[in-house]
Amino acid sequence: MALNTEKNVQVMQTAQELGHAKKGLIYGVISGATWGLDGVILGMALAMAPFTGGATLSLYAGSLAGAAMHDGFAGFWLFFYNLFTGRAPEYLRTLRTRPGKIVVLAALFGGPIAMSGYLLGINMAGASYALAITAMYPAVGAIMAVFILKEKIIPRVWAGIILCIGGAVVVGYVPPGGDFPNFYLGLAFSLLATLGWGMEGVLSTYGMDMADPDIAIGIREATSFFVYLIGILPIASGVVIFWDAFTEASVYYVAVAGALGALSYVCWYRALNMTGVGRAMALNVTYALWAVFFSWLIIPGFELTLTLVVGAVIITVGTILVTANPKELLKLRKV
Amino acid sequence: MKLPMRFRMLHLLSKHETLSEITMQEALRPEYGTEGQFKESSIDNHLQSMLAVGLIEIQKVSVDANGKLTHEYKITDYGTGRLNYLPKEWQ
Repeated sequence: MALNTEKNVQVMQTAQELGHAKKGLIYGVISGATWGLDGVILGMALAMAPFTGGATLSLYAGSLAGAAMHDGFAGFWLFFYNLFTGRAPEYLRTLRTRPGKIVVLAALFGGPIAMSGYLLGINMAGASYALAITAMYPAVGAIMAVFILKEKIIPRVWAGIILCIGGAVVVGYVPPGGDFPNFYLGLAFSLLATLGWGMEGVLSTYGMDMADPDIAIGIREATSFFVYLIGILPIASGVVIFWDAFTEASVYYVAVAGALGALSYVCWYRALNMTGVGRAMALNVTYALWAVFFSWLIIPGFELTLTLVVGAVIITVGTILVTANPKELLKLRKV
Repeated sequence: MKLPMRFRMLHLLSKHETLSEITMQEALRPEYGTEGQFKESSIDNHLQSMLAVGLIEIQKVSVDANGKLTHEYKITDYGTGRLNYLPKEWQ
């Protein structure tokens, strides 16, 4: 039969593997877009009561309470998604295995550790430095992936990752200013956040070699939520704000942001699994570009400055370099 | 307790010379057959993900009577290394 000639079979096989790789890239782009929109909605919620608080409220207590609620809602929506797709028993099965525990570790790095570091970094060193340092998480993740996962990343993709990071820094740029007595400690916390997010990507990808990505992200969000609630919020005086939020209109915004976060994270974890850490993280950091786009779309009077446009162009070029030639994705690792 | 389905697939491949999508599905059916996740598309997706990261490789590929690709998958040394993470009762 002509269909079954060796050449035809090989062509069909390559097309099938390419289809899988391209799907991973599309998940990466969706993860960035939904994370951008999530950030805009969560930002609207955090500008409302009770997150803005009063004079007694520490600067990051509101943000941490919002982050806890966000991950709680995301974990809740993901549980229902997994329940309806017939995967709910996989939660306990996965948690009992070492790969499941690695995902829990990834959750600790990416959730409470990185997010607390990020907020403390902004608080102590100012947004301009904290945002620039933390935007480097895809490079940190990619470097770790090369050593830990033996991931193949060619020079063109490295260039794309660096452009995506550069674009994110330009888009998020805030002129330095203010008095920061704990400036260097703030830089250290920002670096901790960068390492935390990089580490999350590599560890979760390692765990997902043997675990379903949709379950891994369900575990990630649930772990993150409980650690915030039990370990972080009591220290940061955020418990009262957390519970108060359920009586305010802001809870609806956080619930929507949580749903977007769930979608974004499902796509991100699938992309990590299907396209590798370097590419998935570069596509994820494009959220900076998407956040600008959605802010312009949703927030009345939002001004599109030249800096934002330049940053957007840099991110777009970076994304093209990262996603070009999906054939390179057929074998992700040097094994 | 059962293993997560993806991990069980890797484990099954370590117990057989090769497995195809169809023989894999039949091997999984007694344990996972009643669950919503037990679908051809999910099994294919797990196999393709494990293939992309090098845990398994293709021993043979052909086209069936319906024009669909069928594969014989084999665990690699890299994949065998991951079996160290199996719970004791599965080792």
